[in-house]
Amino acid sequence: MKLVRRDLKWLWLPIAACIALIAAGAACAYFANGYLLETKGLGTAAAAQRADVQAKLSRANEEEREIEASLKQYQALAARGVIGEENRLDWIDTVTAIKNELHLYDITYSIEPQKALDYPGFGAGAGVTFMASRVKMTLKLLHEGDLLNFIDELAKRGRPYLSVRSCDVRRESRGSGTTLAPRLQANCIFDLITIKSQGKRT
Amino acid sequence: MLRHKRLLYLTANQLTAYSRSRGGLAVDAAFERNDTGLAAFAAYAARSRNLYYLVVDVVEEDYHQDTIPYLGRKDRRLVLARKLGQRYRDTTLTMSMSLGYEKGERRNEKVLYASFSNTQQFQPWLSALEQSECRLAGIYSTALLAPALIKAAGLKVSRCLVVSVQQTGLRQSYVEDGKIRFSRVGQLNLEDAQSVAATCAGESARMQQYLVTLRQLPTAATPIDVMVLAAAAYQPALAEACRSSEVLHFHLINADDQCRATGLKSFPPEAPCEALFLQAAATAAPAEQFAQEQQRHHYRLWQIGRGLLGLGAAVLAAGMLFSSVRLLHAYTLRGKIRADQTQYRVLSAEYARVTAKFPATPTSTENLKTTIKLYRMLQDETATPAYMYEQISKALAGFPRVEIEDIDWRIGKPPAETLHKGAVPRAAAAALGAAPNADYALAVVSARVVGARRADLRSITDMAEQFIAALKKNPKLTVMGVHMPFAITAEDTLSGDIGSSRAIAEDASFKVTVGRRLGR
Repeated sequence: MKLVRRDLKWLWLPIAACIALIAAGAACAYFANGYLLETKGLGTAAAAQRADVQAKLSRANEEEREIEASLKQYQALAARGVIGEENRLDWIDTVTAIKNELHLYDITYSIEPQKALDYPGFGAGAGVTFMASRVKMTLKLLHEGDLLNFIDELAKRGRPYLSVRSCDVRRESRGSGTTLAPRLQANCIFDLITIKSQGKRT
Repeated sequence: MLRHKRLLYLTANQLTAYSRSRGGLAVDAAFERNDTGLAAFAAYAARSRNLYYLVVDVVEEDYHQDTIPYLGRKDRRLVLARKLGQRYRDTTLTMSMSLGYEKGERRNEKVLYASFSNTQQFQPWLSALEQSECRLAGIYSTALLAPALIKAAGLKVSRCLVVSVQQTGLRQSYVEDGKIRFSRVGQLNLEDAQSVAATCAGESARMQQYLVTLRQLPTAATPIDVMVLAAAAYQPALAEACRSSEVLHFHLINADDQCRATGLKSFPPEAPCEALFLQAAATAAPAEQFAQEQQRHHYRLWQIGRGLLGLGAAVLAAGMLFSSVRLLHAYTLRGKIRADQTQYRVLSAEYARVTAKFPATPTSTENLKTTIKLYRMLQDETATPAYMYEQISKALAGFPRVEIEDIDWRIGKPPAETLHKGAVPRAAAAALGAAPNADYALAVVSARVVGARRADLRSITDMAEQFIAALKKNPKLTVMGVHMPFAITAEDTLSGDIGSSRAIAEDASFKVTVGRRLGR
């Protein structure tokens, strides 16, 4: 059978209908498939949400104990002054008091501007920031025990958390054993660390 | 579908148009074979472009059997066309039909050629259909439809003579193995039932003998079944006249009953046999028919259109089926999602109820946990020089001639440049390699051996090595670098002044780097 141009007048309607039907079938399949994919996404999210709250509920008792333990520590840190603003004058007073009590020689120091702590793993979090002020200190010592006692007292009594970064103790002189004069010099670097917490109370 | 079909019954004198409606066969119009009738038919055809089935019941038809070699499709078509051309002067309305293959090695094909002898009588009617662009599905002779009637009557016989009493006369069609082989029309006095019955019986016997002559039947004693199709009015007479014999087995079929059996609720009472032929054309038309392709052009266009619609409908159905499966799956998933969401709400309420009993915190729970976690990490990673001083002091206790000059303590990673070439013990290297990024409390201890003679390199070196060995005894400490007083290895330069006035070695100092890993 040979088709000629005038046959198109009998065929255009079936051709158009065929195209329309195919398009309708394809559209049905396309939208149904899209709807299913969307539903699958919702299903995955809903299942994950349910599993998450289920897991949280099953860990609730453990979490309660964890919160209680953390809270005690947190309160202790807050009471000591680690959490909150750094008070440099208090800290200098503490250094002065320790020097006098331990009968230490001259102490010189310089405190750098406070900035966020840059130790590994201490990046700025959503609500908690560890801040550090670097202190460079030089001490004249009779013996190394003075340094250890000084650090020990400063860690106990200072409000910020004391992180000793370095201490270079060098022999200055070999004087006779009868004269009380500093024989050692210590050049130390400390970080005075405080914690800023921005979360709301619960 | 049937109601869209127009059934045309053509005899030598007139053409009757039928249509199906409500399960019945009704006469639309009858057209005489004259100018008025042809004009009326043209107008009739122009009104309706439905499918047309033309059933022809005329005397002038020819059937001839032949054999052709076993051929491929294309060659077969050419051979059949040539054979038809050779046999018939006018091939406008001819057809060929395969009757099967001979059982020889050559497998020749048995073929039946058929043609209407006088095609001129058809032309005006066919022209009217053509001009109206009507969809002519096919042109069928009544003989061609006889096998369908046998099947509809439920007769399962291999050799059957169909004898039908029609308005045009007595039609006899011989069918073998479901294929028409021969047909002819005889005159009949329809007014006299006894005469009709006698003619049926007599013509059947003569036909049997004629078929033997034509070698359609192998022997004169070969029995055939005779299906006599006639209106109800002739049945008593037929029952009387048509008695089965050894060669003729009569089957009397009441055409009126048969019409109803085939689904025709109503039909022209004067022509039940014609109605059966038309019904066969409409419902069980054979593939073989007389119309040529150009006469069926609009029917083919209609078939293409139907095919396109069928294709579209099939794709739509497949799309909808696919969609249904996806939507059903989605519906099931939605139910699961609703269940999950309900469960989530219940669990959330329960969790809120449980957490309401938790102690009040000065900050959010998350901040609280983070603060404590980081604070513990800070504690783990910080240290004071106390431990290192204590260990150095212990090691120093056994070496009064070793004097410390400087202890450079710090937190950090062991710098590579402080390591003396070849001086790092394997264990230390392994420890560093295992935790290259861990923080260490490091102490670079600078010391010297006092009171040693400059010439006594061995004594000074041994003293330093023993002190370092004492440090190494502590498993928590790692000796990371050693700088000995003198380079005594073969790779370095060693200089001295034996017998010099400088008896006491002032440069007998050495350095050792000790580390302790922080954290857990």
